[in-house]
Amino acid sequence: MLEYISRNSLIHSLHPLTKLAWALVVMILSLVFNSPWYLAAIIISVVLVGFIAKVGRETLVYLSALIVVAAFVFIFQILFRPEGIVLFTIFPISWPVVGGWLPVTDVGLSYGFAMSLRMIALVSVLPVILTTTQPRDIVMALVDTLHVPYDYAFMFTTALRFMPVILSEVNTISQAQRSRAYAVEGWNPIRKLQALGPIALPIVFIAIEKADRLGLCMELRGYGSKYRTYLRMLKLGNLDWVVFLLFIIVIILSILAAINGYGRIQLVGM
Amino acid sequence: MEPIIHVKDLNHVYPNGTHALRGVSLTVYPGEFVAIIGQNGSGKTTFVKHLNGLLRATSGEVWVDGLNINEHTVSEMARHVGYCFQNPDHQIFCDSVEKEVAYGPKNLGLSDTQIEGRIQESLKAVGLRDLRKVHPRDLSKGQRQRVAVASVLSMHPAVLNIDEPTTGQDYQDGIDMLNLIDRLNQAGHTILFITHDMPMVARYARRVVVFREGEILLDGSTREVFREIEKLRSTFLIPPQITMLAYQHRDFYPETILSTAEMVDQTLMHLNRHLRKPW
Repeated sequence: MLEYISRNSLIHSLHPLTKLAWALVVMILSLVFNSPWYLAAIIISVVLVGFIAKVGRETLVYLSALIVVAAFVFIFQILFRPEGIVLFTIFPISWPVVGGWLPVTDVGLSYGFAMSLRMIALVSVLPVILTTTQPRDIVMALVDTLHVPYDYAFMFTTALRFMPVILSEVNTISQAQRSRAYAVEGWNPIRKLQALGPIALPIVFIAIEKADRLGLCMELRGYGSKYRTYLRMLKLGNLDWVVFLLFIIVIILSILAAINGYGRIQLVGM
Repeated sequence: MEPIIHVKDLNHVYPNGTHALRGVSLTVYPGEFVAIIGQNGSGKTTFVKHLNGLLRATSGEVWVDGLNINEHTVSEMARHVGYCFQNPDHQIFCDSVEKEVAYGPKNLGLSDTQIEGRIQESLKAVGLRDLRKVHPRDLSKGQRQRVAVASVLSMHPAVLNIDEPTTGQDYQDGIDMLNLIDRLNQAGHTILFITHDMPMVARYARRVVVFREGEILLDGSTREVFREIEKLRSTFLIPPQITMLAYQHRDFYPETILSTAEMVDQTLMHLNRHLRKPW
């Protein structure tokens, strides 16, 4: 799971909003361009930012996990895109009946490359942002700067915060049931479903109890009273403004470039 | 006599690198009543979880009831070692007490008549015979803990591990719980219980094992262990007040005292001797 990693870097010290804006810029760029070279360049730039943020290794681990998903996108694109010059067919022409089915074309190949790279580029910023920004700072940015209601932002962080708690409770429950000879054996899906009860019922009960207690504790500490102040205020620094300016320039330049045909490949049927 | 629990040079390192047990060796014979005490994080629970395979040894050997734990799954061990977790809500999921108690025996593949017999005897042992049709959520915490014990008992384990049976209960529920455990011990179960409750240890346990930082610091009869005041203090354990009072006047009470009754006996004995007066 992607969690905040406390390291001292330039990227860590940026305002969360700047990082969210960066995510938006990367998203726009990967939608504007469709050339595999340009998309690969975007991914490399994100990895570079990851290394500047001293989370390069984590970023690469996450991206390599994505390659499996990207491979699926790639395979679907080459299988179901019949336009362009046929390079070969999955079922050789010489075969009876099925011969010549599922042709692989040059367009299909380049489209497959472009789409899988675009998919990776779109989500590549996630590991960098999540490992360099504390969840409470993201909430702070949402509430303070983007004026998202505090209740929603609080729900978001509480959900994040309770994930490990619930997982450890599930672990304890599973140990307690296994001590009573609970075992899930075989592949019978009905038995597997039945086996959920001894784990699921206690966890639902415990989660409801915890939520109830959390609500009570929050109210006792004045949650929902009218005026709320914050201990840590986040300020956009000079560096943030410089980065914002850079973003705007990059977006304008790349849109201009795309209009003039750079970074876009002509695909039949697009 | 063959030991029922035999642990040799047990080490456990958690995935996060915590070295929770460092070369623990312990032998327990059938019918013993052992209290396991120590600070939080000293390795008590980690140790006990090795006895039915919930945790696997990083190195070392664990034998229970003549079985090498490494060759058996947790559910296979369930008929030999029962484990009551601290919070009964971690295991209760049925809509009646009897179904909850029947769950373990069902998993062991017993017949309906056998299961019925197990339900009756387990509920009788924990004193909940009249509540067998009740929904467990309608019971008090102390009663739910009894349901948890009964649902482990119904599998007829030779060894019963009970994690903090008195935590979060009032005095009477705590006493009732330990009286129950004491009865189970007399009925032949080997008992290991983890606790922070020193008066209960003094009153019920016959053997005490003290854990400190993943090692066994002390192991002996309750009286022998509570004699080692300084060693206990090193791991922030303090024997019951009556034991401490006697210790502070050890010229007068050379023997370790575990209860008020013993204190009275000793005092009367001294008074008789020194005043030469029949008291």
